Parts: sequence; structure tokens; C-alpha cells
Amino acid sequence: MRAEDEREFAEYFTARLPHLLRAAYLLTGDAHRADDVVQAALTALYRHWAKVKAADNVDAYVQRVLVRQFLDEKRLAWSRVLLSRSLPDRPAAPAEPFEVQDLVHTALRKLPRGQRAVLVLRFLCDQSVEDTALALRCSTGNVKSQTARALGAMRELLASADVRSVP
Amino acid sequence: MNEEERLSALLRQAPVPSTTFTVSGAVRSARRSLRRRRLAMGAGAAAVAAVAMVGPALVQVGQNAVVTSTPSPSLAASPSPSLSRKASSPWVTEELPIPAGVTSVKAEVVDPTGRYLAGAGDDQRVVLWDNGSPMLLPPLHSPVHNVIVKSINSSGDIVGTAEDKQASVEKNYPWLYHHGQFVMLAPPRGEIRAYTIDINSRGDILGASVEGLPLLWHVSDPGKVTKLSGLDGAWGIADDGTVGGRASGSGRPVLRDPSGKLTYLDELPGRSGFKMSSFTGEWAAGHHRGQSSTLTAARLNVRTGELTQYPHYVGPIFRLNATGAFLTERIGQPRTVFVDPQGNYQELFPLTEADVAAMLANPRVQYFEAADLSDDGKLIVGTQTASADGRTDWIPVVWRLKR
Repeated sequence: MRAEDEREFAEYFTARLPHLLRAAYLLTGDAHRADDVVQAALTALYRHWAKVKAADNVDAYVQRVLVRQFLDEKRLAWSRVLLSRSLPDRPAAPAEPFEVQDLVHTALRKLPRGQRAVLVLRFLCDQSVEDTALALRCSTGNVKSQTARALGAMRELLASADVRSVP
Repeated sequence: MNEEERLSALLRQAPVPSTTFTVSGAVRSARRSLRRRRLAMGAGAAAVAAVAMVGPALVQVGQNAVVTSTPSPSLAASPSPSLSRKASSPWVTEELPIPAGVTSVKAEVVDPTGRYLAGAGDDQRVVLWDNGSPMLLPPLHSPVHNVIVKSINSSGDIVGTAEDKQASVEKNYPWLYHHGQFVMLAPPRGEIRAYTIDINSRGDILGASVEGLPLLWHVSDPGKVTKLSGLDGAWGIADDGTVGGRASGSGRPVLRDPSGKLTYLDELPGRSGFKMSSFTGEWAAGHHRGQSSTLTAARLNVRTGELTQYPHYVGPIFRLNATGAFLTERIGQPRTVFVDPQGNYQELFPLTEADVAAMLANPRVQYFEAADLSDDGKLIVGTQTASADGRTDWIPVVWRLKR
């Protein structure tokens, strides 16, 4: 990669890193795995940066690669480890009541991986149904049905905290 | 703030642990990876040349490696644990026939008797199977996309939803297939979206508004919609018209009989953590929340009040039948299993032995989705995914209990 391209690459990802780490953490539920997923995504994007930066929507392209890295477990070392059911340590102070934050992570972990990916792409990354379908290589109908199922599950799980409003 | 906005806010607010991850470190790692990749490509070319010279012994090693990551039919010649597991399964996996011209379709619902099955294809057409014979139903009247099948009853009446393809706003159609025709179900006055959830044997259709408020139609009068009082969520409707849902305000699991009388399911001691996600009449299922935040799969007999928790199964439970059997996943095993009324699970397998080998070699990859089960517990419907040439197709399948 040319020095100028590498500078662009670093600038772009320095700005986007917190968002990508958040997305990866919500997908994996584990800080180390989140780092692995982001590293794998950045490595793939580094190889093809010229193509990436020419995309119509670079953010959507990058999010797509991140989610595919998450779904394509075979490429990652941690895929050989069964997912833990215990929650990770959380040093940051929660903005919502503890129970709700607890349930957000628990509820996400209860979802199948595909539904988790749909929720993160749609409601964290603000991707359209069409872009989400492209990222997940499925139909828009599938995205809608997965979204509905995931929302239904999240609704019930979050309702159990009896907290219905967000500050 | 609506539900989607709230979820969006929660995802943005969820705390993320601190990390030492840096972009500069990631760039260094990416550079190293690129170098290794180039070296490996060179070494790979050399290895191919070596195999060509050395011959069969190395070729055998290569075949085994392919079997691990990519299914190989040759595995059938030597029985393996995967094949014996499938052979010992009480379930036989069968591919459903599809109508001419249809390339990709899901099997999504089965009626309580197991006679009728239905699902939607990627061409937005609905397929109905009657005793295993497929029939391509006519297109819905309006131009639509994202056709979803939600439920089918013992008369073969089907309900589902579809998105309007032409509307500039997100309009949708709750629909009914009855007596050979599709009809659109009326949304509540002033609304442009509504959903179907379930249909019972007497033709009551349970649905929901955008806000999740339960709605009721009947097959005889699809233009008349009734809002069900006392609930702000619903999961299923029994043959007598009783709806299983969530009480307005409190969120408690509740049954609402056709007269509007509410019966709370969490009043008996020990039931306070029970949350419903599915309902079939005698049984309600979902999850139970105890002292910790752990959510355990749970099932409640609404007649006897008996609550059973399943710490080894993933909650909530979304599909159960009239005997209390249900579909869910085991903890740590992302693959749907059938759980009999006694709580014992039975594994389900994909179609071919090669698929089974691939599935067991990659236990965290989902090769199929089991979606619904009949009331006699002898038939499960679902979809297997097949990928080839960059295209992914759905294969409708059933798992049939061996006689």
C-alpha cells in the first residue's frame, strides 16, 4: 500500500474505531473476540483499501466486512471455543439502569448469530433493509423476518426488566 | 420513542470494555498478514508441485482435509460418528417436492394435524403442501415483496404479511389465504401496517398493530378488525379463542378468553419470573427469570399450573405444540433440537450424509432452520440452506418421526 493510502486508511479507521469496536462487542459479547473480529476486518480491508475507498458508501462497506468476519467464524481462532454464557467485565459506567444493560447483553446473546447481526446492522449501524440483506447475503424478506423475530425476543426480554423508557 | 428507537438507543449506550486495540497496531498486523499471505501462496505452489511428484500418500491426506471443511461423499464408505448419530436419530429428514418453476422456497409452518404445510419462495409466491403434494398459490393481488407466512390451520387457511412494493411509505398487508383465494385483512382505522400472528381451527386470526397491540379478525369477515382490550402483546390463539399474551402496563403473562376475562399465569408461588413467548391452549412457553439475570427456557401447563424450567435449553421458547413438545436450542449448541413433552431432546440432521459431516465438523454453523411442528409431534418443518456458485438457495424439508 502506498504511504498516502496508508495515511488515509489510518485516518478513516481512527475515526471509526470506537463504533466498530462497539458493533463487534455487541455481536460477540466478548472484548477479546471483538478485538479479533475488528482486527480480521481491518486486515481484509487493508488488502483491498483501494476498492474500499472507491465504494459509494464506505461506512456500509466496512460494516459489511465486519459482520461477515463475525459470521465467518472459521477464519478466527476463537471460533474453536464455545461461547461462554457468563457476562464479561464492564468497567464503563452504564447509562441505563444496571438491570437493563445486563439484559441488553443477555438478550443479544440469546439471539441466533444471524439475528444479532441484523439488529446491529439495522439499529446500531443504521443500515437499510436492502444494505443489510446485501451484507448478510440474503433476501430483504429474510432481513425483515429476522428483524421481527429478533425484536420480538428483545421486546420480551427487555420487558422483563419493567423499564420502558430511555433517558 | 418507539421500540426501534429504544433499541437503537440501548445499543448505542451499552457499555463497551476498554481495549488496547489501536489502528496503528492493526495496520502493523495487517502488513504482517499480507506478507505471510504472499509467502504462503509461494509455498502453496511449491507444495502442489511436491504432491504431484510424491503421489497417493499425500493425496490421501488432502482428501481428509477436504472432508473436515468441505463435505465429501466418500465419507459414506466409512461409517463415522456423524453417520451413526444420524442413523440412530428417531427423525428422518426428507426434502419436500417443489412446484415447477420454483427454485427456492422455505417451509415455514405446519398445521396442527400435519396435513398442510406452507412457506414462501424468493419469487414472493406462497407454496402450500397438502399431504406432501406442493401447490403454487396465485400471486397476491397487489405488487408486493417480502412475503412471510405466519400460521396455517387444520383447514389449510394460511395467514401472513407482505410489504407493499409501490408505496412510498412503509405500507404492508396482513393477508389470508382462504377457499383458494388471497384476501387482505383490514388494518385498524387510520393505520397502514398490521401483522398476523396465528390462526386457529375455527378461523379466528390473531394479529398485532405496529405498536404490538393485539388484533382479531375472522376468516368470514376479513374487513372487520377488532382490538383486544387488556393486552399489549400476544403470542398465540387457542381453538376456543383464548389468547395468550402480555397484560397491558404490567407486562405479566396472561390469558384473555373471548369474553375479555383475564387470567394471570404468574400468580401461583414461584411463577413470578415466567414470561410467555408462545401459547397453544393447554401450554404456554417462554422463559423464566430467577434470582440472576439468566434466562431459562420454561414451559407452563395453564390447566395445572405446573411450571417446568429447562436450564440446559435456550429460552425463550417460540414454537411448541399441543402436547407440550417444543423446538429450541441447547445451551452452547446453535442448532435446533426437538424437545419431547418429558424434556428429552432429540437431534435433527440435514438431508445428506455429506451435510451431516459438514455440520458436525463446523458445529457453530447453522445448516438448517426447524421452524414449526405438528401437534402429534411426528412432523417438523424447516429449511435447509444450500450454497453453490455464489448463490444461496432454500430447500424445504421435513423431519418425520420414524414409525
